[in-house]
Amino acid sequence: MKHITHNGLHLLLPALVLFTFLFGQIAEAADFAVIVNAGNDYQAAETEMKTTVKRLFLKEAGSWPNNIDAEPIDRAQGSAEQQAFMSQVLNLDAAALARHWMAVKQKTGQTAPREVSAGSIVLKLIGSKKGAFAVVDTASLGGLPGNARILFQFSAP
Amino acid sequence: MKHPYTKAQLSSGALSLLITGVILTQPVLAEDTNRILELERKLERSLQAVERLTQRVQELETVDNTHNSAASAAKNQASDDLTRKLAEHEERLAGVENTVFEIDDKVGSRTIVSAFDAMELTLGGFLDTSYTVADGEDGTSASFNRQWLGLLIGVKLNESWSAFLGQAFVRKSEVEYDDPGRRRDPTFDRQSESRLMLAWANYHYSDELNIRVGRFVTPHGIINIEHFPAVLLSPEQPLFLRTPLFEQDIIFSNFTDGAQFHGQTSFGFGNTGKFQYTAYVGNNELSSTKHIYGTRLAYTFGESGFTLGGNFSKGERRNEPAAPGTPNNLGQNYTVLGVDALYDKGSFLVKSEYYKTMEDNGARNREAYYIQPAWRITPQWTAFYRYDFLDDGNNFGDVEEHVAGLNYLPYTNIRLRAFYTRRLFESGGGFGSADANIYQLSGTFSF
Repeated sequence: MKHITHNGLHLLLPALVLFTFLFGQIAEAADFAVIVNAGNDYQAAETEMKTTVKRLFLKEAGSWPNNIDAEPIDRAQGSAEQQAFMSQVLNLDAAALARHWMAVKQKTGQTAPREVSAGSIVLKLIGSKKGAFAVVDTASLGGLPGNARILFQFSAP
Repeated sequence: MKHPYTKAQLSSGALSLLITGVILTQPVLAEDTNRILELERKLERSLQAVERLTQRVQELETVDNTHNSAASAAKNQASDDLTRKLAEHEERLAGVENTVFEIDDKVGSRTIVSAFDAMELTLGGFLDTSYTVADGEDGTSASFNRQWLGLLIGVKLNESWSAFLGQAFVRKSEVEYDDPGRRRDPTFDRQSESRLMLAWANYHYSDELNIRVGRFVTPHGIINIEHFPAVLLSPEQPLFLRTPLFEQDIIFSNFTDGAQFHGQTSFGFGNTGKFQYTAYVGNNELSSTKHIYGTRLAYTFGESGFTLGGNFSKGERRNEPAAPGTPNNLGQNYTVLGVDALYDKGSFLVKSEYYKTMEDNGARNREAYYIQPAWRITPQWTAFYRYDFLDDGNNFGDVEEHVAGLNYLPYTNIRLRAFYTRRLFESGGGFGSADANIYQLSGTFSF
């Protein structure tokens, strides 16, 4: 009996550590969403939507696939939304993003999207511009206004 | 004083009194009992009334509590709403304040520059400078050989039209060689020039179709399109693009004055693959009458980081005598075919281009290629190597270069570099082979 208990502890401890780690990871994951104007009916498979949003945000493309002119909105540098968007949608780190904007500036004279820190202003801009899009923290959304909709959601650690 | 009554007399008197008292008090006791009973009934009624009142009070208290709870909940809700709205307004106010501070920092009390007639106007540019030591077979030379100020102006005229202007102010000297074979005795020969690099207007009909007119970077390959030093690992472009003060077309002209169609569309790889095209017609760098035309097609394989491009152009070389030692290309027609490959993902960046020309009038065909792998060690540090080959069609032999260097970006808009180049001149034209070792420190500062 003592032998079994000893073995059980050997199994239990790593299991507990693993559980704690996994649970911790799940508990720390936050949810974000890319939202667009309700009048923008673009919809596709999630991978395609992410690529489209990435290209529009990076100004590699200028229009949504439904020909609506895109108006990307960036979030405050260093904010949870901006970090999550950069890592999960753009798949770039800060240095790569800076390199990208430097290249864009020299190729076409375009600049990075405007940064907006206040969520309420983001919602107003999304609601007033048909091609606008931005990332928001779903927890801080409250009720999404009728003139905006979620394009897709994603989680970030 | 002696008592006048005996004990017997006293005892009989007391007994009489007791009996009389009992007899006299009988009606009084009966009356009290009635009153007690009456009082008990009244008490019972009072208790019942108290109980009813207690119940009523409890009922009222319950109702009151319910009212209070509802009122309290409503009050809390209102308070929460108010707090949320306050937080929103504070957030918005903070955003507005930040914007005001940023504008104030940038503008201060100065007059804001505004475009005469444009939706947006952005101004930027870069300063590029270098110090180079060239060690040849017959001598060594060193120079602060490049000071290049580039001004870039982006203009958004309206939702469909934009323009982009680039003006260069350059004091520059390439590594040149004084010896007759141009390979043994390096030196620097400074020249200054102010030159319009870019001046184009773009009409955006859709992502699939744009029309650009004016002066633009010839849309071939990878590095010529990137072109400016702020984004290049080495400001010394590959051999086939390295022309003195923009004035040569070894393989193709670096810049073109003309018009182009360009666009892109998505297909393949779950619709994440990207196809890009450019087709142009124009005049080459030095000739205002000779026309060139060409196209570039490229495909990016989804999110793999891999892009493959194909290039074609056709035209006529400049119709004036070339400088001594450079290709003599008096009015000859040429065709260029080329492929380029780019891998850019995570820590690794690989660029490679290959071109082959077909020259007429009996001139030698030309060939050029390079491969440039790079490793982003950290966000600040990047190491790179480039193998570069050029056969520019002359009779002086081919040239090879091995370049190894480091880039350091202390800030995203400052790029500092150190690199070493080993240049190998193949024998030709009656001259033997030679080597040169070139060391360069450079910095590019963008704004």
